[in-house]
Amino acid sequence: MTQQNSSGTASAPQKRQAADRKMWYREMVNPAVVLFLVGLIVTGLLAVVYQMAQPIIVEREAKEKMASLQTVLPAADTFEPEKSRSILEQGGLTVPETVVSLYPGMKGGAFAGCAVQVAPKGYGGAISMIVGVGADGAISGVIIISQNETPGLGTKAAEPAFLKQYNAVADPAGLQVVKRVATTRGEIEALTGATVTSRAVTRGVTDALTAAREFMKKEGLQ
Amino acid sequence: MNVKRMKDVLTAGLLKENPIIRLLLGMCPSLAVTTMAENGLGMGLAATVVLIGSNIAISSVRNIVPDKVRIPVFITIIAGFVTVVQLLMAAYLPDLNNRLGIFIPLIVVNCIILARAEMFACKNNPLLAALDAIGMGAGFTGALFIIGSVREILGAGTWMGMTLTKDLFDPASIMILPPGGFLVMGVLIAVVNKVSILRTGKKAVPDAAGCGSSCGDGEGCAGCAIVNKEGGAV
Repeated sequence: MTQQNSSGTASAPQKRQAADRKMWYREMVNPAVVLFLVGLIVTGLLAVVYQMAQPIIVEREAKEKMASLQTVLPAADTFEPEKSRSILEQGGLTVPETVVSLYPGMKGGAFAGCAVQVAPKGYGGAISMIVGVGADGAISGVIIISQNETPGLGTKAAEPAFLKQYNAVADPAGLQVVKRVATTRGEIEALTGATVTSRAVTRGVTDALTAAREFMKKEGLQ
Repeated sequence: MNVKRMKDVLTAGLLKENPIIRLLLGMCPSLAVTTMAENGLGMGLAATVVLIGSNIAISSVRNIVPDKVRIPVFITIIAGFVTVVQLLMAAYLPDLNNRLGIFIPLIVVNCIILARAEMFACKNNPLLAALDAIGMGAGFTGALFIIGSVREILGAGTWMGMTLTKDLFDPASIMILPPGGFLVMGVLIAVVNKVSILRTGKKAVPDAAGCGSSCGDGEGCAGCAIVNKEGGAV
């Protein structure tokens, strides 16, 4: 960047001034302008893609949610809007710790049970799951939405073979994890090497069942 | 520019300078997502799309970007492409997006992408940069797919979601846990080295292999030193 010693007709101070300005432009202005423009273009591009993709993502998520609600509570064909934890508590319910939200299910205008989203703490963080409770107060289905349990051990909790053990259980107090072959309904056979996960899922189901029954009692639906 | 050079650039990433097997770049996502063949494939393809986009974009602007802001400009472009890929995956491939989770946004800091920008794209024209990205992406995807396949078959008894070894053996869970990733990757590198020694009849020297064609053209070897350092750190 030493341009002062180039020969020319202008006087030395003038030359230095011009060189300084040129250097200032090259070292300070140009990089800033280029970086700004690159940022601007990339942001613009992202805005366009976001506008395109966001409605599809929202729609897909809503559809997926509806499908999982329907899976755990096949008796219902439509679901009322989500009743979050705070709404339930404002309604005077004592909601167990792990309950996230509750969706009352309807069929032909009549109450058909509810689906409860719970997030009990497993071995690798919260396990997000949905529990369906029929209008008769018994569990109609359980699915695990997302989990971070040990692959090959705790992840087996998401398999139907484990989850179907909860079906038709109606008494929250009757659910119990056992480390042997289950003999009665309500006894849950723990997964080998994943006792913490088995207990967490059972805890979630118990809480969901409790919340659902409380909700039905309060609304006079049972 | 001749055809031979184009071919060299395209094929370098497949084996000679394979990002996983030879350059040991981007180890973190490679080990983390290769519990299933399908995840390895998905991760590889997502990274390839980002790599092609960023290599072409960076190569196109290489003459107007001042050296001083080179890295911020590259990272901005790369982050832009990653976010686009993530949005599109969330919209059209939600299952894969959920399974790959945090590793999609983390493509931004995957050393392969920045290393190719720094070593190759900023010194070559967009066509060569695109070929380089395709070759490197294919090599990355292939390596992840092989590692993922081995881990899934041995660790879960399935492949691409199909049950393969129903009663043959009890799947060894360690293979889909983190140690399995290291085991499979180490064995894969050893096998590839052995095969290339047998084929060429001479010992494959890792640092020479790492530099390969990019140094042969008198572009200097500075990039390789950076790559090796990054590869070791991640």
